[in-house]
Formats: sequence, C-alpha cells, structure tokens
Amino acid sequence: MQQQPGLTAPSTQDSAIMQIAVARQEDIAIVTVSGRLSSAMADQFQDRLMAELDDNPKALVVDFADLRFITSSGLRTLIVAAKRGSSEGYRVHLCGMAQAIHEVFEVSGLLRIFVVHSSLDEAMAAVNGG
Amino acid sequence: MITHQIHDPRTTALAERVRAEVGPTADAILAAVAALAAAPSAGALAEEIHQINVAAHLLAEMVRTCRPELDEGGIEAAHSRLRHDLRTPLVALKGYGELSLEVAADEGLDDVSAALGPLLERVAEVMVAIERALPATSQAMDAEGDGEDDCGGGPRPVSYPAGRVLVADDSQANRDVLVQYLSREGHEVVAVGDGLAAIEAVFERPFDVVLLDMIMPGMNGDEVLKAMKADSRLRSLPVIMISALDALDSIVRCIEAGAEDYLAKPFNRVLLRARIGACLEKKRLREIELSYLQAVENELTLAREVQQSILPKAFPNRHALAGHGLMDPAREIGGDFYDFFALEGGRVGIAVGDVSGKGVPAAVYMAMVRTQLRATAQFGLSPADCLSRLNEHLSADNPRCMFVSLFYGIIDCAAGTFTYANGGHNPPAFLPAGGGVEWIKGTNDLLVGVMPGMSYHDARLTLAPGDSLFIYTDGVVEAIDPAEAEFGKQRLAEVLAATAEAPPAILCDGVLAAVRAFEAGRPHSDDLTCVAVRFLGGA
Repeated sequence: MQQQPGLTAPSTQDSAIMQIAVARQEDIAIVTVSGRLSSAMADQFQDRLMAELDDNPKALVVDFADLRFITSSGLRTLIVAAKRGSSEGYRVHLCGMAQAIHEVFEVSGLLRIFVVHSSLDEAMAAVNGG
Repeated sequence: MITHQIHDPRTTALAERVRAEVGPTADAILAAVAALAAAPSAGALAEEIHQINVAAHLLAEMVRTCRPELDEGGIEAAHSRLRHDLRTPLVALKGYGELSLEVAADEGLDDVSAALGPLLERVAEVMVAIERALPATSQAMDAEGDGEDDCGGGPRPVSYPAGRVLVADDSQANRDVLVQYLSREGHEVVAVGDGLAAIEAVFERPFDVVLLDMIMPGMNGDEVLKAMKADSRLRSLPVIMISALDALDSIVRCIEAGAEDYLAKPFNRVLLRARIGACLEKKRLREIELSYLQAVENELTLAREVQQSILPKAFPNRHALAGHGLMDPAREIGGDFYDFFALEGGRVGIAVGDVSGKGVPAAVYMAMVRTQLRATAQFGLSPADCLSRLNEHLSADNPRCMFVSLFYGIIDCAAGTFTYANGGHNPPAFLPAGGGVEWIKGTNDLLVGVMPGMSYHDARLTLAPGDSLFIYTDGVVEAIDPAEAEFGKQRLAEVLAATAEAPPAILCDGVLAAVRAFEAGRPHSDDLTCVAVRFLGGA
C-alpha cells in the first residue's frame, strides 16, 4: 500500500489536463471537455455544466473532443443533467467520443439515456432539426 | 574593566553635538518627571514613577558625562554605541510612561494623566534630538521604531487573543517593560535574561510566541533562533526578534532563518501588540487547520473501516470451488467492494461493485448496496431480478444521484453453470481451462441506482473443471503510469494469461503486483478490487 501521512493534494497531472469550454448557439448550450475528467476535476465539470443548465437551454450538447478518461463522478454529472433535462423537457446530446470513452458509456449502459452523435455538426443538426 | 582610551577630535565633536542637541530636552524630562512626582495622586503609581525617575536621571547623566571612546570599530562604532546607550533609558521612560498613562486613565487619576502628557511629549522630543545628533545608519528600522504611538491610554483598536509569551532580553529594564506591557494585554509572560535560559525555557514548557533580543550574553538571539528552528518540536513556534541595533542586516538574516517578525527598541506598543497578536492569530488558525485535517483523516479512517468490515472473511467452503478476493483501497475511499455468499442448493453468489464518488458517502452507499444485495439474493431470485429490485430500491430515493456498477453472478456447482447479470460493470474475464482469456460479454444493462424502471438481463456460461473467472474494478484497468498511459484490458489479459494456472489468491496478487509495478510509485486515485474463482468440478 502506498498510503502517505497527511492529505495529498490532487495530482497536478490531473488538474493540469482537463479543459472545459462553454459556448452558446442560440438556445443550445455546448460544453466541450477534453483531457482527463478525473475525480479531482469532477466538481469543476459539474459546476460548469450546472451553470449552463441554470440558463434554461433548449438543448445541451456535450462535446467530448479529445477527452481521454472519464471518472464515475463525471458520469454522475451527466446523469444529473439527463435527469434535469427529462423534467425540463430536453435531452442531453453527446458527441466526439473516442473509442475508449464510447466503451465506458456502452459498458455502463448509459448509451440508452443519452443521444450520441459522431460529431458536433451531426449533434447540432439533430438538435436543430428535432 | 580596562579600557584604553584614545582621544580623538571626532569623539569630542560627537560628545559636544549630543550635549547641545539632547541636553536641553533631557533636562526638560527631569523637570516633567518632577512635576509628575508632585501630582497629588502620584502615590498610586509610586513604583512606575520611581522607574521613570531613575531612567530620566540616567539619561541626563549620560548626556552630561558623554565621552565616546574609540576602539577598533572606529568612529562609526562609537556613534552606534552611543546611540544605543542613549536610547536604552528611553525604553523605560516611554514604556513606564505609557503604562502609567493607561493606568491613570483607567483609574481616573486625572492629575497624573495631566502630568504624564508633557512628559511623554518630552520623551518624543528627546528621541528626535538623539536622531539629530546621532542619525541612524539604518533608516528603515528606525522610522518604524520611533513611530509615534498615540494609543497608550486610549481605546484599543483591535483585540487579539491572549497567549503564553517568552521574553528573552538581557536588560532588566526592557524585560520589566515588556512584562508589564504584555501582562496588561492579558498574556501570560515568562522573562529570562539570556539566550541559554531562553533555550531551557522553550524546551521546558509550551509557549505561543517568543520575543528574542538580538544581543545577549552567552548566546545571542540569532543563535537561540537557529537552535529552535533546528528542532522539529519548536520549529513552528513563532519568534519575534528584538533589536536595538541599527542593523537591518542582522534582522534580515533572522527573518531568513525563520523569525516571524522583529521589533525595534524602544518598543512601540501598537506594533508590539499587533505583532504578538498576529503571531497568536496565525498559530490559532494553524491549530484549527490541523484539527480540521485530523477530523477529515478520522472520517477517512472510518470510511476505510466500513469498507473493510463489509468484505467477506472467507470464500464459502465448497469442494467444487476455490475463490479469493482482494481490495486495495485508495487513500480516499473509492467505493469498491466484493462479496461471496452461500445460497440454497450448494450455489454460491459472487458480486463485485464500484460505487460512484469517494469518501464517506461512497463507503456508506457501498455498505447499503452490499446489505440489500445479500438480503435480496436470499429470495432465490436470478441475478437479473436481484439487480432489478436493487435498482428500484436505490433509485427510488436518491437525491445525490449515486449509483453502483455491479456485477452479480451465481455459480451452480452441481450444474456447472455461471449465471450472471451486469449492471454497468467492466466485463469480467473468463479463463478456460485450456488457456486463453475471453471477456465475458456484458448485457450492457444500466448502472444500478441511476433510474427506476430499468430492465436487467441474465446470461449464462457453462463451466468445465479448471475454468476460472476473474472479476475486477476499474482500479485495475484505469491505473495510470507516470507517463499517463492506462494499464488497460490488454495488459490485464497478458497478466491473466501468464498466471491463469495459479491458485485464485496468486492470480489476484499477481494482478495487483503488475498494476502497482506499472504505476511505478504514482499514487493511485481509485480502489483496486480483484476476485478470482476457479471451478474444480466433481461436486
């Protein structure tokens, strides 16, 4: 076991790597997340995502371009968003998933509660069309 | 003491300048002290007034007989020494003067207050006069040291916590002043006269802050400071240096060596109060921080205990089965668990789960999942039906939106089957007796607890003697090395292929060792769980 005395700070590798960008196209909130969505970053991801939802978007699109890892806390945030969406009348669209991320969604059975698109363009077309 | 006096025209000039600049004000102080002593209520402050009187006479005498001596330090050293000597009685004059003013104000001794006003004005003037006659070589320090202190008897602007203060100063007058000042502030004060006594005191009893005079016989303040900073028990004890020297250099050296702050003589009450207060406040905040960290640590220990206590102690005793599980917790509990339990008809239930989130919430949720699973499993339900029920229970009231990835299977030793359902968990590995590694295809059913009304599906494997199952959590495959590469399923498959023949315990240990070697010392952020079960047949 590699336990150390005292509390350790979140590793700098993790905190340095995740990046979140937020954009609006009309009433559609687009959140782009890249890097490693680790436990250390999960709160930040949750805060940004929830802030977007507080603005009452028509739809939420989460672009996973260059996301390499997602922790269970990150999944939890997306589930919370999906639940809010279902009560507020919109769905959460995901796009740009790398193979490894797609596998996480597949294994966890979460593909059935999100709409998944291969690219952001496709996601936007679907949101605007539907 | 023998001194070799060398007459020099420069020392004579210095002495004349002092007498001309300081002499009249020193005499004015004597007059002010006489007026003070003559005040009708002076008796109430006899001791303080006596000290003031002694200091006033000392100052006047020093100015009158001023005869600077030259030694190897030259005229500059003589200048410095004289400046230091003349300022020494000022510590008592200013200190006892302000103290008396405070007491007089508190006790309504208006006549004494009235007499103290002019005295303190003269004291301020004499400080300016000394400055004119013997300018400081270090201005930064002196500008602060001589700062006008206008709240001697007035209301205190900020209140600070009281603490235990050690004062180390070789001058009796300085010690007295500091003890008086600090005791009046509510501090518990111990005063010692040299460096060695200071060292003894700090090792003997606890203090909250130490005031160290820079120059003391035997052991100087900076040496005491170094000794304290070299000791792990005393390193965090704040030290404030006291200096009458006009040498900012030595103060800077002490600050670099770990001193918290410094005070110049004669003491400015506002600065003294503020600096002592700041040290005590800092210490108090540090203690709060430490106790908070201790509370967090206790919670983590508790969470770890909860987690460990729910793991099964042994694999159920079946001739046809051998099994082993291990869970290596992360520092902050990751919410992993595994379970084995005997079911009717010689069957054995095997579960591996990973709860979302970390820490105490994850540990509590995990304990709840495990208990509900065990309870549900006893009704003779299939794995999928168990997960469905569990899902309804867990998702019904779940404001924190927690969930668990849960793999649950039942081995029927008589039939040689493994029936399982997978609620969003990593696909386990199937290790056939003949060699090779296959991933047990998931049913892609949803994580358990996310939302009600979800369906779960059973799947079945036929087991031949020698076949093994390896069930794990993402602490295995998501472990990362210093270059941020993931351990991944491929490496896991390689380790499993290489150790497939080994007993279950060796298999689990082998995977753990391989993952930790891969991480190469990088701290792991998630729990790691492995369960290996081998079907031996012949039931």
